[in-house]
Amino acid sequence: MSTSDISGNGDCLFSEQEFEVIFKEHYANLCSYAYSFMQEQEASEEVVQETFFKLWTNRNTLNIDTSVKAYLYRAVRNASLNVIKHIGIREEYKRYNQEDINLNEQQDSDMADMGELEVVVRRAIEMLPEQRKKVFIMSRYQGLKYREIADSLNISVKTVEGQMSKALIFLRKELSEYLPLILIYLLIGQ
Amino acid sequence: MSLDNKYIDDSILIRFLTGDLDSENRQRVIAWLNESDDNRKRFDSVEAVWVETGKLNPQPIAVDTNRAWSRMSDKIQMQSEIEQIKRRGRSLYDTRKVRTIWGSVAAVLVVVIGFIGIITSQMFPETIMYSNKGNGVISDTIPDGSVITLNSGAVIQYAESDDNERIVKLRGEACFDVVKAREIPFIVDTDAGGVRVLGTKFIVRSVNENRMRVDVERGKVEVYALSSNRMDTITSILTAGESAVVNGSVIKQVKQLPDAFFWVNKRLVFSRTDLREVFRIVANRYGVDVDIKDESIYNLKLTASFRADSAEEIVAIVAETFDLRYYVDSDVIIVELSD
Repeated sequence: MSTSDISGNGDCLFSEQEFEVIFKEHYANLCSYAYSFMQEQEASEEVVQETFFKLWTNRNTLNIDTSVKAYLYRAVRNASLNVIKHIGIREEYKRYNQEDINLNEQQDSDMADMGELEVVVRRAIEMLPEQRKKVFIMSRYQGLKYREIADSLNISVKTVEGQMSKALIFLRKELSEYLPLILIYLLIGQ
Repeated sequence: MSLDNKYIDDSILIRFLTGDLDSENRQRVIAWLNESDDNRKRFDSVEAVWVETGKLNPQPIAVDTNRAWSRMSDKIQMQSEIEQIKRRGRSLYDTRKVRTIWGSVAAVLVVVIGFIGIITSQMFPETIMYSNKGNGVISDTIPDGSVITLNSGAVIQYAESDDNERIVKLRGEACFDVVKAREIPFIVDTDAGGVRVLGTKFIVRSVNENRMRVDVERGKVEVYALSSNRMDTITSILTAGESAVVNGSVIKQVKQLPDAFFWVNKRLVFSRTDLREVFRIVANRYGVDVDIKDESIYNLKLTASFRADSAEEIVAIVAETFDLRYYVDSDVIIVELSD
């Protein structure tokens, strides 16, 4: 189900089941959004947890003038900036982010209505089993070598390699409808 | 298909993209790419995924959404229970409560642990959650000055409501040293029932939705549980040194164990307890072996309380009391009759 159309003006109500759907749909992306400000995973997850908790406890009184999704992104951004301001973690990010606040506000709305392909890619990554996801993210986004990933997760390089193959093959399958290049290969490859 | 092709599988192509390939193998891949259009297309299909995932901004991080949800779901559960207690508490206690003007004190914030605490208190001035995930014991002072000590695995959520009732929702085992209250009841609620106090020190151990245990060190508390028709509550008063177990809708007074408070402050209280039992508890609590050489020692009865750092301190005092002799041989404390 799509949640971006759940909006209202003060009488926005959702059941716990609906809340669960909203949570699961947006949690990972909101965490990565918070991470883009704080560069600290635990703090990012905490901010997102608290934002959702606030959404839940105030669900009867909250005045959401756009969509729940846009509200969540805005709330996570504000909470992240607050944390940076109050705790002064990582001075350079604070500076970086202050310079970049306008840009981030832009990004905010971009995130809230990202394109179909991006949604599919993010969802596909999210569907990977935990360890595979971790390996893939470390390689793809943290630029770590297989050896470094193996050491940090306490697994063998062989396992890292296997997880990467499985991850990429899975993603290729998931994205095949959207990427013509892949489709061609799959047709030939049969 | 060439022979080489056999050895260029997806995992090598992926290594090519991640940069986890030495130059010799890179050359092999390049040569293989030039061999045929099909090879090229196969590579393209992997590269397309690589490129597309690389466009994501902000970049994904590895989170466990299901685990995060179960945490959120716990919080929601606790929140709704607290709401219920607030409602129940209000109707139960409003009639008896002698109100003092304490009025305009706003909900006080408490800083939990570092980082997380600051975020929490900023956003939720009324609800504070502590949990003890480690193996040790942690202790904290809540805004009204009361001290709560959490045993390993315990979780509490504390809400200071508008009319200053003090309510703590507990899972697991915790000790409460409650500040004598400005006529405001302090309530510890568990799934099985709860405890209401006006200033005392006691332990509550919530076992499951039907069972809990309460041990009182000081003062006086009222234990409550839901009656079997779940329409009202049954209660029982406990005073210092007394304990009770709630099981369903039965509150049963039980003997307080000598080591009930040991995990909180190393306190051991013996009241006409045989030395057999005393040494068993001491050995168990301090993780040592106590070896009794003479059967007759077992039946001596001890009345005393301790807060000792080691088993040997206690054995020394017991030995002196009963004119016994003891010595330590490697890890074993040996106690015998003197002559």
